[in-house]
Amino acid sequence: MTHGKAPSPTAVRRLLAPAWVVDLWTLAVPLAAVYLFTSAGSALSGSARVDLGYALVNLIIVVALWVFVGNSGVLSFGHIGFVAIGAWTMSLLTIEPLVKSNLLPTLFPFVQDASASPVVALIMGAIMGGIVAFLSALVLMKLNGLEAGIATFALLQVIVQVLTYWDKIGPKSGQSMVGIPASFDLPVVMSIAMLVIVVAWLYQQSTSARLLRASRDDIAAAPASGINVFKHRVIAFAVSGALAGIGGALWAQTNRVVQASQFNLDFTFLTIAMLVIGGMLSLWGAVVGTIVISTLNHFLGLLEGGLEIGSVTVSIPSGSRLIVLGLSLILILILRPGGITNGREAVWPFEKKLDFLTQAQRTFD
Amino acid sequence: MASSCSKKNGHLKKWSSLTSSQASSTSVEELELPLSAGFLRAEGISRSFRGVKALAEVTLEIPRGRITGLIGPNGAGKSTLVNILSGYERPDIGSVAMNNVDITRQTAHQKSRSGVARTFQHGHLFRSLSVLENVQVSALANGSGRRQAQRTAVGILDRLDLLPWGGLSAGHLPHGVERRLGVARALATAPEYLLLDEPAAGLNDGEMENFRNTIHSISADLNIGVLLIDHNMRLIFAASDYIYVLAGGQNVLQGDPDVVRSDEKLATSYLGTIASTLAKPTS
Repeated sequence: MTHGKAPSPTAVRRLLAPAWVVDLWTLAVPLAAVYLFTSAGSALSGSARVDLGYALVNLIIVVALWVFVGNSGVLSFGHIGFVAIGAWTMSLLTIEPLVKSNLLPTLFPFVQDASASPVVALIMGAIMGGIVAFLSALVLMKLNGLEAGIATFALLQVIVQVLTYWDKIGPKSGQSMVGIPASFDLPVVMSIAMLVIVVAWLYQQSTSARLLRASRDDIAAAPASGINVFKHRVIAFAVSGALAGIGGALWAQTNRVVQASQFNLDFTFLTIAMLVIGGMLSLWGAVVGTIVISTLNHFLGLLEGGLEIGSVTVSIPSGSRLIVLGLSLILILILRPGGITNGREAVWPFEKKLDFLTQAQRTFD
Repeated sequence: MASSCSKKNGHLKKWSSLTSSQASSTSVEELELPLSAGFLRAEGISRSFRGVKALAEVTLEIPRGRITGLIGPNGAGKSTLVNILSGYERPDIGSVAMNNVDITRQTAHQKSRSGVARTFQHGHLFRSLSVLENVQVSALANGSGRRQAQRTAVGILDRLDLLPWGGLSAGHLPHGVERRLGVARALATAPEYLLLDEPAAGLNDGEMENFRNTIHSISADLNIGVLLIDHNMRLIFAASDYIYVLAGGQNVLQGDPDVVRSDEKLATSYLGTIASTLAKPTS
């Protein structure tokens, strides 16, 4: 410890940490978990690495989803729409110009000509996701509760339909974009995922997020405390949409083939299930849920393909993954509605909570 | 404890700076006197829900630094009036003015930031936050920085004897503590006017007495105009400087506690006699 405070008599054998250390701990633990998860996955076979790539992309998307859902308490079924926008941006900016003119002849001329490095394309993906999220939030965030959730689902449908049929900004109806170069290897994707976690954490510490979390607890009481719920929800939705755009851009890089129909209910369900199973009220829950479900999915995938153990081949029917995912979600909702983390952040383990009066004293120094 | 006192002074200082800026356009005397005048005034308020009149031309005035009681049978429109004063509902007709500035069309969070605070009949606490955080959030939303919000919150908790509860979750509090926390949270918005919607419901006699003292000191020390709604007549008549009686969505009676107490209309309005058979308020 560098802060040099002596342990208090009441906290024998426990280290006293200043508040910022305790706060920073809630960031350090998820980052360490992602690092360990990536290291462990990289050490495995080739198929594990492929799944790991998707897992890290899903991690970004789930963390993005958490930024809005976790802080506002409003469920969003629409975030895969922002993922699609990020994927579209990455594809249109990084496909080779020659390939692009052959494959996508109907594009707007400026889209046809646009080209950028993968990093710039990634940033553009975030900006586009953020802008669309911001604009839609201006309309959607007037709604509350279930209505808001249903409206975000409608938004997903609108975005997917536009991307499916508007050939000025994409392929002819329903076709796919191919030839997206893979420019990011696993360590880079992991670093971007960590960066996204840092951004989400910084947002979580902001005053805007604090006020939004109060409104999550009691939407009726929040305005009486002076909280402009609409404003803070719009901010959260925009930040969340931008991060989902990053997830989409990396998804395009990972999948290399991008088609509007891929941004569907299955994808939506997977990411929401990861968030809910981990614990949708905490950033730590978003990370834990993604890691647990990705790992589970990987091994179920191996089993679906048939796994040879000694001389016996063990296999389970195809489609088992989604069934297990659905059942896990139901079980979690019944047995532990707060998710694996119960909606808590990673707790600083070395210090007993200071009793409140001591804390109050400290605020006067 | 000395540090805690300086905190209280800080809160007061914030207060007096607010009031003096209010009064800057008027006289120097008011600048020196922390107790500046001012009213929160509902004028000719009417409001219907699906054709049913909840309020009909109700007028009411809440002066700074005083406790104004509001009583009436269930369904008299008391809560609707509080909702309109605090921006949770809009009147069909009529206006709300604060210190002679029309604030009828301000939304709830705008009214809170303007200086009209309220509590709720049923707690409505931020249940996943601690007691301290509940109060901090109100200060933060009203423009305080982190540190300032923390100090304000600790000071208010101290004032309402909630400090020992500060670190506990607001989700599992005894009833009396919940009621006080509701008031603490409203105070953290640095209000000029405080609307208390049945704050004493469910309190025992001892708690009630403490609560009355608390409201009284808040009103006097911080120059807050308090609107006190309750069914407990002992509390209302002991605490209020002035009392309004609503029945059937109309002003029935108003005056000093002694005047209202002895007026026969009080009995009739509470006996459930249809208010429309009564003459419109003339006092």
